[in-house]
Amino acid sequence: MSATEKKDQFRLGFLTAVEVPEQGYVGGLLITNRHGRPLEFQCTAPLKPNRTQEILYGTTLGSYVVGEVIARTLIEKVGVKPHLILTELAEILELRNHVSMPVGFLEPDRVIVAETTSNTLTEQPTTEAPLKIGRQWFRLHAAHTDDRADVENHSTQIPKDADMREPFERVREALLETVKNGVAR
Amino acid sequence: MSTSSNPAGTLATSAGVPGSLNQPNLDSKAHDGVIPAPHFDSLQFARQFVQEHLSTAACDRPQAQSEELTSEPTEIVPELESSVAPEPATAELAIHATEPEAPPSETPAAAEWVDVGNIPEEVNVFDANPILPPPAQIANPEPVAETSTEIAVSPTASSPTISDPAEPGNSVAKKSIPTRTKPPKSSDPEAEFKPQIHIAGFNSALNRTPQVQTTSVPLFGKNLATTKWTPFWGKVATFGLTFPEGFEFLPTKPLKEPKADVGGESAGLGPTKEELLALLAPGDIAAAVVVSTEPLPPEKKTRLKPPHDAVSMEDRLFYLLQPPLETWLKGQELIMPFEPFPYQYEGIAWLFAQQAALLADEMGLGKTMQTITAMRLLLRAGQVNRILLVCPKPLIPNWQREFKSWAEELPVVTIEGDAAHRKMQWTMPGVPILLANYEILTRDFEMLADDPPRFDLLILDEAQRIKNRTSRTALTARAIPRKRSWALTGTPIENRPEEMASLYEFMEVIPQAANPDLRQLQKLSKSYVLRRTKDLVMKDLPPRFDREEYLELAPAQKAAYETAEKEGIIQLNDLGDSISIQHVFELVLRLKQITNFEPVTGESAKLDRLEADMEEIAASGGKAILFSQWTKTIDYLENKLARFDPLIYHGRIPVKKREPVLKEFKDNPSRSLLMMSYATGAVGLNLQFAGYVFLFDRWWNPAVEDQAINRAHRIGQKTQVIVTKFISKDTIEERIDKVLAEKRELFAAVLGDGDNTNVSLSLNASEIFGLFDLKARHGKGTRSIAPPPPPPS
Repeated sequence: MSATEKKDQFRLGFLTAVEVPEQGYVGGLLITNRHGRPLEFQCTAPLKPNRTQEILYGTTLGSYVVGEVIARTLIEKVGVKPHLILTELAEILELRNHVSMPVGFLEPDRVIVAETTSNTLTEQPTTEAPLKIGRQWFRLHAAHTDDRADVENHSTQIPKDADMREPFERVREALLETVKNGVAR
Repeated sequence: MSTSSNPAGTLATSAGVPGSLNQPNLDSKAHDGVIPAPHFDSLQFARQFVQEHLSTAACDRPQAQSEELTSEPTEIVPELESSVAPEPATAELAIHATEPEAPPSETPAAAEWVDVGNIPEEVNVFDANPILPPPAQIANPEPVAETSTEIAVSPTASSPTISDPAEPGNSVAKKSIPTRTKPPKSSDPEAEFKPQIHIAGFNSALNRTPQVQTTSVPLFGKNLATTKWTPFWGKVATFGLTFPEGFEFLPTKPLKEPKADVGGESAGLGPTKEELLALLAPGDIAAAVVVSTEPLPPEKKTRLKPPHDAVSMEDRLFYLLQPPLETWLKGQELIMPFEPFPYQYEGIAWLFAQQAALLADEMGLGKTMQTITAMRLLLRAGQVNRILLVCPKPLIPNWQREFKSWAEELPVVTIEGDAAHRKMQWTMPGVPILLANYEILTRDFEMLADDPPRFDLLILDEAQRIKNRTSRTALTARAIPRKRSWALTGTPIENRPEEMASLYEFMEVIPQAANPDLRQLQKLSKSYVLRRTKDLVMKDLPPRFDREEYLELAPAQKAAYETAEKEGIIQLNDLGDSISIQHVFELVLRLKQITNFEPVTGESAKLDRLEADMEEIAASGGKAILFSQWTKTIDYLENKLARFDPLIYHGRIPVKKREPVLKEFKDNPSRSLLMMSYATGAVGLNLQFAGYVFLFDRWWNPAVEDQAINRAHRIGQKTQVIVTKFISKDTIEERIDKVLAEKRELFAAVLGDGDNTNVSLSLNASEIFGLFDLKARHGKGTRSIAPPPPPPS
């Protein structure tokens, strides 16, 4: 395999964050190839809002910290840029407005009516309809209508039985490990 | 905004001028009715007077004054108005008239005041202060600053009001306060203008024109204190880890199409539900079907765990962030011939993370497959680039076959050929896996001692070969430059627990020549040894039945045996104290050979029984393996069992012919018997298609016997395995079997919870001597002789 081919391989970014009691928010981004093999990992130090920020941001504090401060920092820091960012946090979906690559939000488990021969749910035949990647369904940002075609084009490289939820477990586990050992301080 | 609308601010500014003349002394004079000297700035004086007057009032009536100064400054006007009404020309009188109580006599410093006219000329304030302008100049004071306070006097009204001079409409009615104070009523006008000045050292300062400025301080203007906050988040600290690039693999072949017998053997590779649905014609099912994305049943996920000695965060995250092994091996990237067992996944994951490892799974559990897969993953993950695998020479073909089966994309180079060719192979770059046997290893590394090749991973198969830590093989293995050290053996303890120390030294987890005690060995085992038994993990493996066949010797055998034993013991006894274990060993071997067959007549009770069993096995299409200690016995049996067309596999068979022998035995249904020597056939071979194992004679070590039996009783075996152990009654074999049974129990105990101490698992000298009733001549009689038992550890 040539270096060019390798460089062009479809890369996924699994981005999530956890709130650690008394330490604040910590986020991680795992870049993998289409088979889930890790290529790069970036995480933040725990980010704890002060009292003023808590008061002024109110209920939007978590989504702001995670969706803008942490997510944008990680995307800027990562060296191996992903072609598609996947997240399990709805707040991070808004990251799409700040980055050039599509962002997919992992749909919660539910029973849905699906077309057997299509990756698109028939009950929502719009651009906001979830898109199947691997075994899971993802929702793209509604304002970026071109993302759908882009993701559909590339997601064929991902095995159909790939568990796209599993990498998030790895990220969370790694985040707790970093918090436990106090890195990036 | 003018000070007239903000009296509080103006007054505060005036009162705050330090060292100025608007101090209590002047106030006292004004209070006493003494008119200040004309050269004083009357405006300033009046301003001071008003201030002090109001301050005094504030002291007497703090509440009222406070209100006047702050919120209702115009409250001053009524007081002024009532007092000044008859004399509207000057504001000073009006203000002075409002001054309350405080009679002059009550002023404490009044006695000290003197008439300024009595002051000697040399202390004239004008002469003494060169700064001061002459009196004539002072008579015309400079214009007041725009911000100065003015008291407006209405021409139509008698009451003066404080107003802003800048305010339109007020300019006409304004009259500046400092114009002139009204002279008091006195007969001597000159005297009236002489101020009384208290004699003090700073009198000249009293003549200095006070510089008073006013500043407008708007109550609700820009000086109002505010707090400003803008969203700001500091730079977020991050931590990053980049994973090394893995080994470039050749593309693997796709999996074969699964067989139709879903639920059978190929069920593990069967089509998924979605694939089955896709096979159906669109008309066979509704256009839309309910597809459940509810949580799938939990799948087994074997995650890599950081090794216990991984300290750095990079190392720990490297393992934590690897995908589950099931994902790696599911055909997405690495194609496996079949799904590994759960315990094999665990073994692979354990090996992957270990720098030093001893995989001591019981024979038949797939150490080879686990090792190859772990190597494969390490290469793929970029953790290793160059691996050396050393094994006994007979097992080279076996490893080659297993590599082809489990990782066909891995390039493996076997070290062979002449010295020059081997040297080229050792130093050839870009070869990920080198395969060598122990003999070549020891020979070639002496040749390469000056610049030995380096490896990321060194694996010793059948690592009991280095149990003697001072052996040449062990020394060579330990001297190879490497990063990881793995040892593979099903029998890590063949004889004594301390043999483990040699393996640990190779694994570099104990210092050189260290002798850990049992407790330390147990502790090391928890970190560096992985051992599973079939009973523990292979509950689905067909059972193994051991039959111990006690046979009476044939008559000729019995006679020969008794003769040999008697003569042998006599000879040993004749040796007296010079007897050695070699002498005893020779006798044991001779007797054991007789129990196999009588050398002259060829009679053999074991052969008779074997023939009977083989008739049945061959008739049923089964296959059997026979093990013997001697090639001579195998050759003997080959002739006797010619009708079964047995195959021979022992050390005298050339290596190149061994693989065809095994293939013939596996593929040819008419070849139902394979006869092997323990030394050659007991390790590494996969003969799970054989359902019968015969131990024609007994080996000294139960571990070796188990190795031999497990050629057949291993993964892939579909039927039960019947193991027949021939034991000749009333012979040394019966005694050996008893000792071996005891040793087998101890073996299990040591490798289990390790509560045994320095126990020899093979027959030691004491035990061998104990097989006989040895006696030495002692005078006219005899005495029993035997080597001392091994000292307890």
